[in-house]
Amino acid sequence: MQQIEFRAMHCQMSAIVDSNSPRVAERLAQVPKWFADWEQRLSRFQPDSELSQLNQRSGQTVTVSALMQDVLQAAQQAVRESGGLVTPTILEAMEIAGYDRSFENFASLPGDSPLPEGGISTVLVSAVQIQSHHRTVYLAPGNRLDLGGIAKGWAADRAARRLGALGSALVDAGGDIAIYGLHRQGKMWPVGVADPFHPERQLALVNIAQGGIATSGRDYRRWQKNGTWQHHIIDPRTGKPAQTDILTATVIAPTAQAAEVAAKVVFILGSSAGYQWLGAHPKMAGMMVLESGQVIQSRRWSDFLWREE
Amino acid sequence: MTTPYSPKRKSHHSSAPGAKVLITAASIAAVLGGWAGFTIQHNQAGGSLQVTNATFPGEVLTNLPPLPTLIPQPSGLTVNSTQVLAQNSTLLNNSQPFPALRAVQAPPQPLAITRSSR
Repeated sequence: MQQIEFRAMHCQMSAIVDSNSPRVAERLAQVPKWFADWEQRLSRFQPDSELSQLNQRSGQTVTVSALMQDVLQAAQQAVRESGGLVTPTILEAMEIAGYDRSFENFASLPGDSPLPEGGISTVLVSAVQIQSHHRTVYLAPGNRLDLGGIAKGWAADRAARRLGALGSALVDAGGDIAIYGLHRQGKMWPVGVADPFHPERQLALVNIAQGGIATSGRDYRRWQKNGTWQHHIIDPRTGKPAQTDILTATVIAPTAQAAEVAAKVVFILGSSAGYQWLGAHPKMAGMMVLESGQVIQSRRWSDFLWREE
Repeated sequence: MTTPYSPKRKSHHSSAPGAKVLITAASIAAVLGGWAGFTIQHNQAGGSLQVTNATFPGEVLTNLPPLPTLIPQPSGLTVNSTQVLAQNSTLLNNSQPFPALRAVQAPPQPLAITRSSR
C-alpha cells in the first residue's frame, strides 16, 4: 500500500493505492498534477481559470473544455438530485456572506457590507445551459458559478477511478473521499468520521468497499461578519448561509460526488428533514452531529460501522 | 442510657455507612465479650455521627442486614489458628470453570478521515 499527500484546491489531499503493480509510485506521483490541473480550470479564486473566464462571459455562448463540460454536467445533476438545494449558482451569495477569497486568506475581512434582507434568488437551474454536442455553455446574464464542493467530489471520484486501474484505491480530497475496490486482502477500507467538537478524535469508524463518503459542516469554514457568524454553505432558498441545527453532516453514497451533494442537502435541511431525506434514499447512509452535541444516525448507517469479522 | 428502638430510626441510621461500621463493631464486641455500651446520635446539622456510652437492645444487632459485598461468602468457614481460609473458599473450590477468554479484534486504524473541508 502506497500513499501520497499534498495540498490542492485549498485542502489537504491524500491518495492511497493497494497494488503490487510496479507502476504505483509513478502513478501516485501524478496525482498532485491532476489536481493542480483541475484546480487551474475549476477554481473561482484564480482569475485566469476557465471557470473565471466563463463567469466573465455570462450572457454569451462559450465553448468549454471537455473537463469543464463534465463538471458542469455533474453540477446540473447535483441540482436535480438535491431539488435545487445544491447549485453552483450561489457564488454571489457566498461573496456577500464574505467568502470572496480562499479561506486560507481569511486573515482579515474587507469592510462589512450588510447582507440583503431578502436574500438572493439562486435557484436558477436554467441559468446554465449546456449543449453537449457542441460542447458549449450558456450562462444566463448576471450569473456566476462556484464549483467548489462539486469539483472536489468529482475530482476524488475521477482520481480514484484512474488509480483503480492499478488496484484498489482511496482518494481523500479534503474530506470528500472516493473508494475504488476492496483491499487486496478482500477487506473494506476503514474510514474515520472526525468529531467536530474535538477534531483530533473520531466519532465513528466505517467500512466502505466502493463509493464515497463526505462531510459538510460549519465547524471550520466560518467567520464573523457584522457581528454574526457566517459559513460557506448557502441555502439557495434564502441566499444566506443555511440556518440549521446541524454542525456537521456525513453521508456515504455510491460516489464521492453524490456523497458531497447529499451531505450538503442534509446540512441545509436540518436534522429532522435531513433524516427523512436520507430515509428516502436507500443507497445512502448518514450521520449528523448537532450543535447541541447530539448525534443522529440514519437507519442504514449501522450497516457500515466497523465490527469484528 | 438507652436509646429506644424504632423501625423508622433504624432505617434512618442504616443508610449511613458510618453507622454500619459502628454497629458491626458493636456486634463483634457483643459476641466476644458481652454487651457494649453504645449509642448513636445523628447530628442533623453536620450529618456526623457521635458515639457515646450506652446499651443496645439485642434485636438491633440481630436484625441488621449483612453488609453488601461482591465476594461470595465462604460456606462453613470456621476461623481458627490452624485452618487455612482458602481451602473453604467457594471461589477457589468452585467446580464451574471461568468463562473462556475470547480474543477480540482491535479496530483498524482508519486510512482516511472525513471532515468538513480543511
